Amino acid sequence: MAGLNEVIHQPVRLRIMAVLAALVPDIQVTFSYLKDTLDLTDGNLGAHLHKLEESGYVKISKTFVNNKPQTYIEATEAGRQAFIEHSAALREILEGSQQIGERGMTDMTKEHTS
Amino acid sequence: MDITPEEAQASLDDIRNLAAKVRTVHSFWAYYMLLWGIVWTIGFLATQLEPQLVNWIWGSMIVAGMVGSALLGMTQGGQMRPVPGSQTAFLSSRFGMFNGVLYVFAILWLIIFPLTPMQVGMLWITVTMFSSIIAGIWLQAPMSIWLGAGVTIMSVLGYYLLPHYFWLWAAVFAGLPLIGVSVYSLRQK
Repeated sequence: MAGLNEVIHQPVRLRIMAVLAALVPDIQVTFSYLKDTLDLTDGNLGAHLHKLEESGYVKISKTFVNNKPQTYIEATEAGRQAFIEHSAALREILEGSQQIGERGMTDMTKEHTS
Repeated sequence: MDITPEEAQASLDDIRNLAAKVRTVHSFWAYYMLLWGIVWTIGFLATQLEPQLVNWIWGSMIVAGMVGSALLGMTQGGQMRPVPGSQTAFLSSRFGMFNGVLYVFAILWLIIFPLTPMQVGMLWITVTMFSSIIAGIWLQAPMSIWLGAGVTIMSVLGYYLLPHYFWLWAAVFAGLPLIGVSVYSLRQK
């Protein structure tokens, strides 16, 4: 069973990874695109990206486009894998709770009919 | 680390919603196709109704399409890019160059050869569909190949079999398929 990832579990970082993992590999997005899509402030987004970069889950590239500084962000292979495993763990938690719920209903029915 | 099933559900919903939002923006080529599908359909229909105004109709339709494309590029194009040096960046730049050369040659042929309006229509349809087939082969996108081949075959049939209704035929079998494929692609995301 895949476990929950402590770095990605934080809600803002989970949303950042959800955006980056939804892109096909080899595509980068701008800092401002992420900021607008996730409705975050520069400082908040920057801090969480730094944490993700430290963990090796995102790659940040700074460059100039038309003489203006531009920051591009992409998910690394490790980041995509970690996000997939984290999503799988979330689904397992959900499925587990549904199975427990169904089993509980079956037991209650058996008790009621016996 | 423990979380409740409700929290897991909320996180999964959030992931799904964000993925849908991103993919819609990411597939901005589909918006281009939708825009040009609308331009073609309106242009072909108008030409069928008022063939004597063909130059005016296509002059204004092409300007409308180019303005729309520029707006799409400004609003969506700058937000994402292929990673420099990646295979995607290489393919994108090569395909961009290929299209540039193709359309320059198409304009050259228009200048050199005296073509009737219907032949000009067929030239644009077939050049665009040629590009669609090449893109499909290059990027391994079967839908692009089918679109290019299907529209080309239908347009050639209309050109030879129903010349009096060619523009109407082109609206139905060249313009509408672009709209259909782009809407289908956007809904799939």
